[in-house]
Amino acid sequence: MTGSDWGEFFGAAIEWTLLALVATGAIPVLSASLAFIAIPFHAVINHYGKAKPYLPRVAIIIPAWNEGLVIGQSIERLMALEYPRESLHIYVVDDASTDDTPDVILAKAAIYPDNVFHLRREQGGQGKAHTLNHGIDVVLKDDWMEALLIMDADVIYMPNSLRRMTRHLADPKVGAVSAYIREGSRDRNYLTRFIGLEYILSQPAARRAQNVLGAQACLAGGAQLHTRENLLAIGGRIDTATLAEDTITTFETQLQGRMVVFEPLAVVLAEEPRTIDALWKQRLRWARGNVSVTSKYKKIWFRPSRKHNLGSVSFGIVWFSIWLLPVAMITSSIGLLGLLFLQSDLALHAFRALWIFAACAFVFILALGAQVDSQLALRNWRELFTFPGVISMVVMLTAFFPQILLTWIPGLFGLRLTENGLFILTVAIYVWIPFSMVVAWLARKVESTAVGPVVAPILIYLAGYGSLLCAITFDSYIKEARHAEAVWQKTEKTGRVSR
Amino acid sequence: MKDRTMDRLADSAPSRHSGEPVADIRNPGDAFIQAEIDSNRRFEWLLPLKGFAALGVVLVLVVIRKLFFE
Repeated sequence: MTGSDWGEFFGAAIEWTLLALVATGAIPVLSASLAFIAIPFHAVINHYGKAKPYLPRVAIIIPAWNEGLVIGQSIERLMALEYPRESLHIYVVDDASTDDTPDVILAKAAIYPDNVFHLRREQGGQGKAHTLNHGIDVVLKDDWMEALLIMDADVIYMPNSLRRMTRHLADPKVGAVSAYIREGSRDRNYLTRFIGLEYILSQPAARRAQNVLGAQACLAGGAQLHTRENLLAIGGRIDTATLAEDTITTFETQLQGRMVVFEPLAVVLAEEPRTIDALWKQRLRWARGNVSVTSKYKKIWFRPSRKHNLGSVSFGIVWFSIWLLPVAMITSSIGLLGLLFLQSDLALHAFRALWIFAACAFVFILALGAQVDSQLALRNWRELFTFPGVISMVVMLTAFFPQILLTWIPGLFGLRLTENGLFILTVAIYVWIPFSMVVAWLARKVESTAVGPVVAPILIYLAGYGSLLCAITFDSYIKEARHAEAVWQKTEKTGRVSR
Repeated sequence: MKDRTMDRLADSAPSRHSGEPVADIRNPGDAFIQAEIDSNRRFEWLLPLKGFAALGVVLVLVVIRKLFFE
């Protein structure tokens, strides 16, 4: 080969490498699209055929640390469940609360002496898993409990929700059932509305798809029902070594060969963070927990097994697409910029292909997701239309209908894009996706300032709620790399949930 | 104003699956619960329709692009 041949060879190799980097951006989009395409199959592949009338004796464990504002209402809601009262035992594990939580629980125990029990931990603050284990030790001491419901202190169960969960336990192959945690704050703001939409997409939508795939990623922390047999099979305890106790429980259940079922019609209302800072702390805990889970179960990924579906290729792609989404966003941009600076024709084609695909996927996902819980989606219509972020929508629009941004809009003002202007605009578009994470991070930084209440929401609407979540995941990489201390921080709840 | 959406969702459930009101809603009986399971199972058959509707929205965008922007 001559020098010129080698030059061409290396040029082509670099071009294809950059193209491969661009393609990494398509993997999460493809994964999400495939998951949502699976949702309609829930009409055929679901567990209702094996569900039967079944009302086991249920022990409910509520971990409570300074929950005086919410615990009374939660107990009342549980006592109003459409479920035989003699089959309900509510154990509130008071994690050394310093407010009036013990008084509220004891008052309820006096009203419902056969149903409500106060368990006190004198040394608290070790985290939710330790608190739960205190209650589990108690309920396992005798054989009254046939099923265990783990919930949060602030959530509100719809009257028919527990009955709709227990019917799946009639199938002995089922180890655990999860419900739909629906954002239910009384005084909603832009962030709780985004969270409400996220929960629609991630629960009644995506978890239906996981029912179809036969593997569930995570039982809802605020609504998970286990059979006694399953609880004993996973060791009779909740994992205390990580921040992802719910995911560990979910994985262990399935690794034991038991099914985890998501019941989309069992609805539980929950209060969600109203500030970016509170959301960041909550999700950082979840994201760091997922890092531990990914590492703990490194031997199951992409290794299909007859016992469970956690090792299936489809589930592996779903899991890693979410976990590595920020990486894909960055590598995809690097690929596009690289091609652009090489003056390769592939840059424009790759950009169009990627973003047209992303636009179609977003539209499909949001259109289907909105129908899955249309009432909540309609109420949050502003956030529905801006869910990917206003600027990302403009980028999608540019890929889909290039004339609009490049010709029509400048034409309205009698302008025409110069070659330099077009180049700068192209660079801006190509770097936007990773940069949107920086904008989301900035939103958190300005939130606590005087202009925060106005500027922070604007930045989130511009950058997109997804970019905010990706920024948090990226932060979890940094924290893990620095081996930063992983501490359990409770999300503050103030009793804002209402039916 | 209090949001009544979930009240309607929840309260509509007991009477939807049977002709007569249930005597004891805490223990509505196997027939009622089975009817509810069957009803919920049928409800899932709306998902393919919703999937087609979502695909339809995407198709509209693609057609607009084909017709006016190519």
